Amino acid sequence: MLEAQDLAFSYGDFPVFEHVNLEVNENGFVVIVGPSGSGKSTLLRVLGGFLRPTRGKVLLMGEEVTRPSPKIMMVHQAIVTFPWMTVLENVMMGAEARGLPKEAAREVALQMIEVVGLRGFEDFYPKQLSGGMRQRVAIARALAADPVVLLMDEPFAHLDELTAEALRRDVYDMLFNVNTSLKGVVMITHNLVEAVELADVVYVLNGRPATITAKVKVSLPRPRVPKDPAFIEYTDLLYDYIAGGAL
Amino acid sequence: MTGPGVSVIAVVIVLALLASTGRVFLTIGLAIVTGWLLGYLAIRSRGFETVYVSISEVFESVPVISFFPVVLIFFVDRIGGYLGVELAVDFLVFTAVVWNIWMGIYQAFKTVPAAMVEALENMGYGFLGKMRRLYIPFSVPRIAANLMPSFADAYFYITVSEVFSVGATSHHVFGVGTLISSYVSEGLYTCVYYSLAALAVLVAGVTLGLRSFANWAVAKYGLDTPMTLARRRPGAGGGPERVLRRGRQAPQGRRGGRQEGARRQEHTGGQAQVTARQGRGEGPRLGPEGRRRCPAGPHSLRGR
Repeated sequence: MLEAQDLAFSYGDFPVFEHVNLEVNENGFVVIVGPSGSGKSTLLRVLGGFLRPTRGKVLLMGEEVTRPSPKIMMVHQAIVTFPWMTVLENVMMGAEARGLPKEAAREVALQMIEVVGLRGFEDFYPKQLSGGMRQRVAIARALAADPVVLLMDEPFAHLDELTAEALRRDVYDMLFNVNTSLKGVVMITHNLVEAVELADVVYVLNGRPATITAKVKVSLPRPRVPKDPAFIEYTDLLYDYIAGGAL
Repeated sequence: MTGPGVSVIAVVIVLALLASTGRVFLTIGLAIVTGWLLGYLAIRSRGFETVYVSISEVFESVPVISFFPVVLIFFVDRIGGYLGVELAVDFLVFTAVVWNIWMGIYQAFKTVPAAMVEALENMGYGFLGKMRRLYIPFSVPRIAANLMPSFADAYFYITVSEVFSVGATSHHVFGVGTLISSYVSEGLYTCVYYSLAALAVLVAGVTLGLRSFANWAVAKYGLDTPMTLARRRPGAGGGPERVLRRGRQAPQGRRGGRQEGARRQEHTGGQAQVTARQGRGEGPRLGPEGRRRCPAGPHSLRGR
């Protein structure tokens, strides 16, 4: 559905990554892991059309992605909420981007606020909410734009451990909810527990210039428990791939 | 001393204050709107940015009287009549208020978090959408911080702006600056005191209002999280770097603005003396005729 074919990107003469091939299947949750500085965020921005690849192309349902569009929505690491708008107005922005009239946009926004579990907070301003709740607002805004694919750039990195855990537990059900049209998610992280907890497929991005060094299918039943021995096997396996690549 | 009745004077003073304040706030409004457009151009085009910032920096230190020749050529000579004089006065007030507002908006636009721009572009918003949802709200705390020095500068120059002499001719429009100037030249000192007292009340009121507006603006439009900015080193050189900071810290911006005002007053010390001399009553000795006869009268270029 979303496909990257032989992607390469360089800043001037400096190659960030090359020969990147990856695929997001229908209802697939893809996680890209890798050490910091391996080019994960850059790769995500190329997938979203924010940056043009130096070589190769990104295809969304067979069509080439050349610029950002609401079909591929990004959730940022720096939690993006607009402080001068209420929760409802923030989320409505996403719905209005689809060209919906005000009333319909409001309906969609209220529905998405419900999906992310913020019902009752519609008229609050982001400043009155915790970091975890604000990231939920950002997710609701992205979902309200009715995307096919959601890109998440370390969405839990700016949250404390407990909040991150709670949001992680909820996020899968939020995204693949009957009310959303979402067909796939690409998330980047350097947290291996996070990766195994959420992913159907994990890609390891490593090396310099970076390339995909491993692809791991995670076939554990959901909800997944990090204390489960099978879970730990996966994190150990991923750790070996990353550490191996760094040597 | 004989003069018109107190109630008449009171009405005239209030009307003159309204006229001058309206003039000041209209020009401030114009400065804000043009600042938004020019600021957006500046962050989009490097060439324009260089020219825009340099010009604003230079003109920021130029006193109002230096614009007299421009006023003469474009407004008084080409347009003429009361309209020409009114436009000339508005232009002079504009040159007093505009620069720090333009630079404040430019600094705000320059420090808009990249992730917020990316989020809006992701949703397909263009120029208007980005302006309305991000750039304009984001610039409000910085504008609020710069309103005070702009207002102060406008009133600091109100007399020279409203009554200006070009060559041998003096032009004036209705306003408190003109009123005080004419009271002084007619020797109506009591009226001068009344006008100054009313002016003081107005300035105090506006100052309080602007302070609460600045606090409100930071509370509503300040960012809620620290975000990574393409931040330049503060304190180096003039202009943008000097007062570059996040919206949340706008009260500091106000302080920067005040220093700005102080710097300008130093530059234009001569002008300040002119105004002060009028206040002490050197004006009336010259008299209106004297002023017209002498090109170096109190409202002309003597301050330079």
